[in-house]
Amino acid sequence: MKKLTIYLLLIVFLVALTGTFSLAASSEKELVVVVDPAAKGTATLNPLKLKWGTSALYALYDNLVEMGLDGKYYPALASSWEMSEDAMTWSFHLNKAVKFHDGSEFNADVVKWFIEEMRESPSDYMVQSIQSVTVEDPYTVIFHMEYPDPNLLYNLSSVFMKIPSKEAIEKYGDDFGIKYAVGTGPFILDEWIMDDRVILKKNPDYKWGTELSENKGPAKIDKLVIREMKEEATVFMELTSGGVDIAEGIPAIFLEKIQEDENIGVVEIPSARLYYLAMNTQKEPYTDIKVREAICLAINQEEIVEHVFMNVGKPAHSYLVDQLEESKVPEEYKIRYDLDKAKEIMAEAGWKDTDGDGILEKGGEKFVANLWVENISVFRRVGEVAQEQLRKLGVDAKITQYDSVTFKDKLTKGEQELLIRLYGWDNADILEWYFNSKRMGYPNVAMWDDEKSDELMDKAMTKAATWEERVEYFIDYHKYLLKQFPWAPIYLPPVNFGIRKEVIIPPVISSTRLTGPPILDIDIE
Amino acid sequence: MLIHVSAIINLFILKYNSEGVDRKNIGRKKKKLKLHEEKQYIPRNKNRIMFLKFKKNKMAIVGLIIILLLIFTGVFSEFIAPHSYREQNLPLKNQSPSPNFWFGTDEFGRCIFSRIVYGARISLKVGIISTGISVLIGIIIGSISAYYGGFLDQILIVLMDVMWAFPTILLSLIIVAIIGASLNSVIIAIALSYWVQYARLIRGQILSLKNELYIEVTRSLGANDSTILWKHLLPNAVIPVLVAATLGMGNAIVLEATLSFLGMGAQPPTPSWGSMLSNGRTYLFIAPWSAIFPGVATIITVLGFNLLGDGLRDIMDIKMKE
Repeated sequence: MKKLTIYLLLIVFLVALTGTFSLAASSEKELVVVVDPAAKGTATLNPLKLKWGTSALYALYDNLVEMGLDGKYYPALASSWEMSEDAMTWSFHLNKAVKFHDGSEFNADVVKWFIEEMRESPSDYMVQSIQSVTVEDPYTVIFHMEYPDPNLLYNLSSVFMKIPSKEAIEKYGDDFGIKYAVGTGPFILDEWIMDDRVILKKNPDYKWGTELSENKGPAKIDKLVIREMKEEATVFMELTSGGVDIAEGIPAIFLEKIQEDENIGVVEIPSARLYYLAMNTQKEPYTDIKVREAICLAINQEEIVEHVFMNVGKPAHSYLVDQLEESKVPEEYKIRYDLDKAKEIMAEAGWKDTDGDGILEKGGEKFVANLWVENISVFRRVGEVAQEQLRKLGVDAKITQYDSVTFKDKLTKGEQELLIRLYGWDNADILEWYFNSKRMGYPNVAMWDDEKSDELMDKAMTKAATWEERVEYFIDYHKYLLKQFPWAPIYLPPVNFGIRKEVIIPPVISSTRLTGPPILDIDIE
Repeated sequence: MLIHVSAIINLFILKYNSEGVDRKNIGRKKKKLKLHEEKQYIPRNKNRIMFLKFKKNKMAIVGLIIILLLIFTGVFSEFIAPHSYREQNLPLKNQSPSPNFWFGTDEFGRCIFSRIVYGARISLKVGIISTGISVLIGIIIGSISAYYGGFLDQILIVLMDVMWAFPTILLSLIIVAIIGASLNSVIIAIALSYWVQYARLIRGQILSLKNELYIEVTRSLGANDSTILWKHLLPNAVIPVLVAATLGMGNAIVLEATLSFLGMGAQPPTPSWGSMLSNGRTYLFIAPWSAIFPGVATIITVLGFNLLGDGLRDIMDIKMKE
């Protein structure tokens, strides 16, 4: 009798086991993407509260217009648009038959509501130029401009202007972006485990793909998992073992190893990232422009690129990524390593090493700097080399590592002295984002408050009628900022995507984000 | 209610144990019993016997040697380390072990051997200071709680139980998160996480001692509370705490390494073994030596403390049975 029970139990167990296996082996196509460790840190999936764009948003939401890698704008939720001759009105004709994931309709009312909501968002400057929005008919909206804005289409195509469902935001309130995220994108939010992964499933009703992808209908893959990992070594291991299919940004130290691996292809996509060291310009001694200049000149970008990033990528000498026209400032404005000059400037500012310990003093006080970095391997490594470089200048930099949440919290309070971060943006208006005196703490991590600067910024942001004028004004603003030395630019990384063989990617990648339009064409063997 | 039940269980265990001992003694030869008697008459010999017992315990000797080596390395780091622990030599990064760099170089071309040597000082410092503080807190709170008893005891016991309920690593992480990451805050965090075990130990010891005849005699001779507590009770109660502290030092070193591994401990370029391990982890496939050697150093050190602690405990336990 006992034996019989055991056998029965065993059979039940085996049946249950095969059941789970057959379930797991169902033909669901799952794509796992891991974001660059340096760019991790999703805090919300609500575009209206976003301060830091993440890959998941590109799959969840759509924009009115979409920008390709060629720098051109393509119809997305807006099927066409016209600008009046004086550039003071724009009319957008919306794509009909677009529905949000919750079934609500996408129409002109939603766009009007969205522009109004944007005025309260962290990226409010993006709609600053729009005076009002009128609804012409359910599928036509007209933007009445306050001043001509050559950057309007860029803003409309940015991750911060992805359009969420009005109904869902009104229904879920503060839970929107945390528990719920409803857009019109090719993927629907299934689950978000903060700091770990966003799980998305295919939107079967999707049929409004842009010209940037061959497939306009529902995505070919059924499930998209976007993971965040803190450690570069983990990314490498997961990619080589097949735990992830696509790594957005292969860590430089592993690039060679991954290139040797025949199961992984490497695709380089022009990136728009920049590592920088920022100084709190409102804290002694960084209020002194000479001290700031000396620190900027003491940072040896070439050394960092060579030894921390194994010569993958380029050193940065201005505050903008180098594919932007506005980054092309005359040579004398560029910030380049010159330790001897830096030492001279420090001496001029009154900082001298009197007791021979290698650390500068002024008025009996040693130059001790607090250098903050996020608790992520790559930032610590850059920090440790910068620490040594500052030591050569005579600055005793003490590194403190913070986890990303505490770090951003600390920045908001404006307690920082020196810090190392990175940004990713391919438009010159990033200068406004980081140096506008209205955004103290974060994003204005340098606590930069300067009248002349704000004037130049305002001119560049609002006074340009054409793109050429805008470039010119932004170059002026950029030049002024560079001469004030609030930041030391460090490094321009390339973005090398590691893609496993099983993943079929389109022959030409049309967007900077694989989770953007190209995701529709991606398939798994 | 629960306390009663556990007390009864404890009584049973005690009884069973004492019976066990008795039974063993019956089986023993007369010679050993003689030695037993001798010891009771000449207390000075106790230390000598303990020393002999210790000498017989080979593992404890190994532990002691490891710890002596660690102390030597920590104290004379400057003379032992062939290179500086902080000076970077970027062109020589990630080099494999060689005659010049015995343990290879790390991501910034620093000598790993020298960093481990200086790291010994960090580990030692953290181990000794943090354990010292927690033993001190433990002794003060534990002895006061046991000696005065009553309401104060109840409150302190609740406090100890609450602290005891927290996992050590979690508690220390919380403390570091509040006061900010640095080596000193790690020391404080470890001290505040570990004092309860010493407090409980000393409390139990004093509870059993405070009703002894000699204490009553001392009191009737007119000694005040502090004299009784510090001069007569503590010296007799402190030995098990010292044994526990030896074991605890190993734990403290591991906890420091853990916190530094998580980036919450010593900040760069301080050569803490934990942070070296954490940094080396990135290079596990490129320069495995940068993770292996700090790991091995931690293991050996902790092993040393544990072996010595175990050895000491064995000896003390025998002494307690007498």
